[in-house]
Amino acid sequence: MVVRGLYKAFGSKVAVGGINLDVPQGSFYGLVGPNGAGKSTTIKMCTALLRPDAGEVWIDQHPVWADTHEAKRRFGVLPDDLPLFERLTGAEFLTFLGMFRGLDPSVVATRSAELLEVLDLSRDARVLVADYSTGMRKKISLAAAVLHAPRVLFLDEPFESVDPVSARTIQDVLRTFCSGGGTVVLSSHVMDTVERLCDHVAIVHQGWIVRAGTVDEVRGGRRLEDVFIEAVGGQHDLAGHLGWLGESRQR
Amino acid sequence: MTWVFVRLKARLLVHGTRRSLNSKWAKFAFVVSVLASILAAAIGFLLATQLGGGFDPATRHRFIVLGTCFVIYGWWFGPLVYGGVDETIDPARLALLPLTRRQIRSGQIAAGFVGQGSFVVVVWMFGAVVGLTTGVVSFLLVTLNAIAVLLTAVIGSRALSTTLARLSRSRRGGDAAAFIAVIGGAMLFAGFQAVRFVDERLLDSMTNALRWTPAGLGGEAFELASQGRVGPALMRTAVVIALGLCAGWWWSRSLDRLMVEPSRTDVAHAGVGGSVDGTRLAIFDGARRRLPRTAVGAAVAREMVYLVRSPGRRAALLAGTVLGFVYVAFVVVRDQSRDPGLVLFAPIAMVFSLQYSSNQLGVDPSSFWLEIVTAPPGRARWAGRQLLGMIAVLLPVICSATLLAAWTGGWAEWLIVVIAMSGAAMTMVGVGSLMSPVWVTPVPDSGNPFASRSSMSGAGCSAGLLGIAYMLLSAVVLVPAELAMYRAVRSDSIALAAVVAVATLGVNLGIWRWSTVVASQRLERQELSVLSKLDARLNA
Repeated sequence: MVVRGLYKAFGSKVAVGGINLDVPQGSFYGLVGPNGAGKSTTIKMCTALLRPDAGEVWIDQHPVWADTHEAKRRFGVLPDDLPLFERLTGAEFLTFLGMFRGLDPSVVATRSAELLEVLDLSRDARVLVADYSTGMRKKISLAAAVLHAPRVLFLDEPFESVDPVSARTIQDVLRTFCSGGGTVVLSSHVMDTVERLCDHVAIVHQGWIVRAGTVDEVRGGRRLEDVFIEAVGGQHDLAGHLGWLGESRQR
Repeated sequence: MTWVFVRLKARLLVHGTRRSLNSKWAKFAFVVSVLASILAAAIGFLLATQLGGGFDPATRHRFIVLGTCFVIYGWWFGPLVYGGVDETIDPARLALLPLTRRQIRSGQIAAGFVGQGSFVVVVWMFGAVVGLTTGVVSFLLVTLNAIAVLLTAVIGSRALSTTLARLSRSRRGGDAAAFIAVIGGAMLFAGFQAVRFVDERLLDSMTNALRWTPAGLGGEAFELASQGRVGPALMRTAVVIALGLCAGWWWSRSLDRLMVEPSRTDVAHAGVGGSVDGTRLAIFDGARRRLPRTAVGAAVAREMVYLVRSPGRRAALLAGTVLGFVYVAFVVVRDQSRDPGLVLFAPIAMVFSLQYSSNQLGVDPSSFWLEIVTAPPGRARWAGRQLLGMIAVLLPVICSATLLAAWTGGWAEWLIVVIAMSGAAMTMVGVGSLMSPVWVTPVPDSGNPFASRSSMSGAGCSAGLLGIAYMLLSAVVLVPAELAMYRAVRSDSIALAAVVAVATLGVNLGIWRWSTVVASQRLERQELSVLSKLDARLNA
């Protein structure tokens, strides 16, 4: 995936200020940054959900905004908030999306069953999506995102509110995806997760990429969290502040 | 704390209105709704101030009793049918705050009086106080009764909305809630129609029946208070207050439960279990097995599933059909005529179901992004929505036509309506697909299908004006076909009627195909702007 000059402003507020990014094929790429840094906006622009004011994104050499239809065949996306078809069962949901993507019916049936099995959703395949827990919703969304075997997978905060068991399952699926030549781009503000999973990382701050490269290059022998805090300048000195927080116990 | 609620409500309304005024059309609709409110308030105020001596006693009695019933029952049931109870301040968002029940209740009640609709009713009540006051005692009694009526109206409305919201969290409960809402709305609507159509004698019968209900007693209390009859007036006011207290207790109980119960339907309500195998396509089970295994087939299958499982869909279809049926039934009662030609008016019954064909993208708004990501063929994006639009339009018309045909014996006219309407429905959903991206409105806009968090922003007015334009368009397509077939049948020219029927279906099929193709092409270009209208969070 290649990103050049991606820019987006909402009124006078610049959300993404002209990002350039090169994501190698088969890499596990982490976009990290504080809340409001522009990670989600960048992912939306990369996945044709939000039109950029300037710039272009190429996925598998196809321009996302010049040839949107073709590009959509090549990527899958797992968004942060998960609006789904609540009144379909998990199995029906996957079937519906598979047919909508124009996949062969037999392929949809086989892949759906396999994904439900791997993601430990088989027993709940005939339960309404509305009745799924947060972890199950993430997993069924991941299944929907990979059903058409995309080349690039975008994940916006994939592990937020997910229990450790579900998180491990999702991570295993993502590693399998990468080992098969797929590329994963995930946004997160959990440094440990990024450090453990990703081989490349970019730190986004106020709409700009302030550091990018392999995880080892960016860390430079230190913890990623320290580098991140240094890059975004978020260290606050609390001396003399919030003393009243302990008062409730005394009272 | 109550004042905080009032300020919060005012602030939310201002911000909501600013946000919704993103086009000239929306601004126009907002201005029209504000002017309509001012006009309604002024007319009601003037009429109410004349209650002291401007009417003869019988008219005054009718006016006061029916007017008070209109305020209370209208406030209770009206919003359930026309857009949802104003829930700008969603009580579910207050669950984590350390607020007592009393604080929440009083805050919500006070906030309920902020907004256009409540402004109009408060002005009417003020007019009643001015018109009915004849001295200090009557002033006190009338004012007390006016306050009791207003509070009972607001509290009852909240109690009903909260109870229905809680019910709708389960599948059966959702159906029960929809049924209650629809029947209540239908009765209210029937009441409006009765006032328009029936003669004075029937109006008196209605007044005599309603005066024994709590709201009617509230109306009588106004009358007695203006005559200075303290005891009888106070007794009737006490009944209204008792009703308000009961509603308040029930509301409080429902609110408590609503805030601590899970917000989704529980697993048992899915009613299905077990695993899937790798050879079956889950969405094409059962009655859907004959559908083509394509994107269009999947879209139709999904809509069929939703028609069965979604309480919102069932409520909408039930409401549209029952209200349309009630309307047509009143035409029959009023005319007392058995002219078979009456059947030709059955299409009027679709008036309450139009939004499902004119606002196709607004239904089920949160999932629209999935379509953008999956990029299905254009026809597939409309297929399910057009199916829903067709059913929503045809169901009330066919039910009403059947009622009229049974009444008049006009079964030939019934056939004409079915044929003409089948064609017109195709045009309506096709043109609806063309219009939908332009005037897209998310329905519903909150987790509670009986409440609206975007009340008083002009959206309802906008939908109403659009509905009128859409009805006129439908009439242009429908009426010539109906009349041509009717004339042919009347002149015993069955062959001519058949030619007209085939031509009608052909023309409408052509319009549907053309408009669907154009709508598909346009939607591809407009999908991101539609997405931003459907879910502001995605583009914020």
